Parts: sequence; C-alpha cells; structure tokens
Amino acid sequence: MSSRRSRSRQTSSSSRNITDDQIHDLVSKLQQLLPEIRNRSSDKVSASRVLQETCNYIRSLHREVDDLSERLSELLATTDSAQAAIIRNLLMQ
Amino acid sequence: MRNLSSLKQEFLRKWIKGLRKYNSQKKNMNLLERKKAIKLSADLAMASTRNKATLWRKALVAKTSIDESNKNDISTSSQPKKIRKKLTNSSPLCRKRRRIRTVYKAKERVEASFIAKKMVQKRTRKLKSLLPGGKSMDEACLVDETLDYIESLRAQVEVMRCLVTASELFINPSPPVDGGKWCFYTYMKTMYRGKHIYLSLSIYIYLHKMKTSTQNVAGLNNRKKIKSYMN
Repeated sequence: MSSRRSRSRQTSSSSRNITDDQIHDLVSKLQQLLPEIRNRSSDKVSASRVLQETCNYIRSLHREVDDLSERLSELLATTDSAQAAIIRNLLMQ
Repeated sequence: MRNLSSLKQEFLRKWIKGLRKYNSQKKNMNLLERKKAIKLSADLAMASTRNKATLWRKALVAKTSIDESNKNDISTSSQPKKIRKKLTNSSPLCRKRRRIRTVYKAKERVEASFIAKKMVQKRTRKLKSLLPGGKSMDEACLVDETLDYIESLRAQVEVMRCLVTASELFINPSPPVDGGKWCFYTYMKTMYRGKHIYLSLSIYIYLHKMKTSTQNVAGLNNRKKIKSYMN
C-alpha cells in the first residue's frame, strides 16, 4: 500500500511539467493544424501560448459541434416539405 | 490528405449508422433528445475511427455509454449530473491524486521564469480538462493524445458542417443557389475554398437522385447503388 502511494507521488512530481522537447514537438505538429500559429515565427513561440491556442481551438470545435447538432435536430424536426422527408429517410431510416 | 478523407468517410458511415440505430430505438424524440442523440452518435463514431487504442477514445466511449443510459432512464437533466459525479469520485485514482502544494519564498514567486512555469502548469491543467479522459493522463502522452484528438475532432466538425449545410440548402434553397447543381457547386467552392467539395457534392447528388427516383421505379437501382456509398 505504501509503495503504491509513494510511486504515485513520485510520478506526479516528476511529470508535472511538460518538457521542452515535447513542447517543440507539439508546436511543430500544431503549426500544420492551427492557422494562428502558422503565421508566427517558429522559434519564438512560448509554451503557454501554444497551450492556450490549443485550448481555444478545442473549445471552439466543441462549440461548433454543439451548434451543428442543434441545427441538424431542427432540420430533422421539420415535417412540411418533401425534401425534409428525404433527409429524414437518409439519416434515420 | 488521403488519410484525412478516408477518416472522414469512415466517420460519416459510422455516424449515419448510429443515427439510424438511435431512431429505431425511440421513434418520436423532441428537439433536445434528438440533439443529444446526434451528439452521442457523432462522438461514438469519432471514437471508433482508425482502431487506435488511445486514451481519449476509451474515455469518450465510456462517457457516451454513461450519457446514453442517463438519457434513456431519466427525462430531467438535473439527475444525470449527480450520477456522473458519483462514478468519478469513487475511482481510486482520484483519491490518491492529491495535488502537492509547496510553499515558495516571496523573492522566488516574482521571477519571470517562475511565473512562466506556473502559466504552463495552469494551461496544461486546462488542456487536460478539455480532453476526454485527460485527467488521468501524464504529460508524456498528453501531447500525442492532443494531436490525435484535434485531428479527429476536426474531421468530425468538417463532416458535420458539410452534411448540415448541404441538407439546409437542399431543404431551403436560397436565391443564389436556386437548386441547380452547378450553382450549389460554386456556392460550396466559395464557402470552403475548394476543400471538401466532394463530400458535400456527393451528399447533394445523393439527395437529388433520391428525390427524382421516388417518382419512378427504375430509380430504385440508382438508389441502391448510391446507398452502398453510405453503407
């Protein structure tokens, strides 16, 4: 029991900070994905900025998924036109 | 690029399959229930793509199964949160993982490197809270998990966006589009700057052919052929 506790404490203190190599790795890969960081110079990006941009991006993607599923559910609720029936047929059968 | 489009096709197929299954279980859903069903099936489809055993995939599947059981049993939205909280508190990992608070001297606290380090720690925690299953991830795999998650999430958003926009245009064609196939093409081109056209166009063509084939019996073969793309 005590060995498990000491092991968990050890891992949490040694891996608390992301290493610089990992940040560099993350930055180089995110540069292809995130449009904001692409415009910046590659060697001057700080770790906290990268993390912040990543968090913002993930949050905006979550919001968009939420918005899109709301729009889709409203679309599927419309019953007045023949086209709506086709969409419903496609997605819900 | 080829990798991404195959990921999107896989997601689309699985998502539509999940939507159909949800509808067969419960016929008449209200707006909120249907929105939840759409979200759950999209998350499940995203988690089951590519067959990789990443942590976020497993956590997402676990979360959707909890949400699904809550959705079916309880109609009000207040209770599901209680159940979810109970499950996380009882996990042994949470009990052991108490944050170690160290006391720093006042001189040390003002140093720029110290502040920067604290910022990184704070934002790492934020990122972990955003990722599904992120709380039990160590920093080593956090970076890889984040990149994989962002890629899959992006594919999910783009597929959903195409489907919803194409469906909306199909149901309510606005004046510039006017129902013509080429007008739709140019509209999509300006919207998405040439990317992901094929997905939206194929959805549109499928819908269009479905519409024309409901009138004649010969169209049935067409419908089957195109349906195989979706299945």
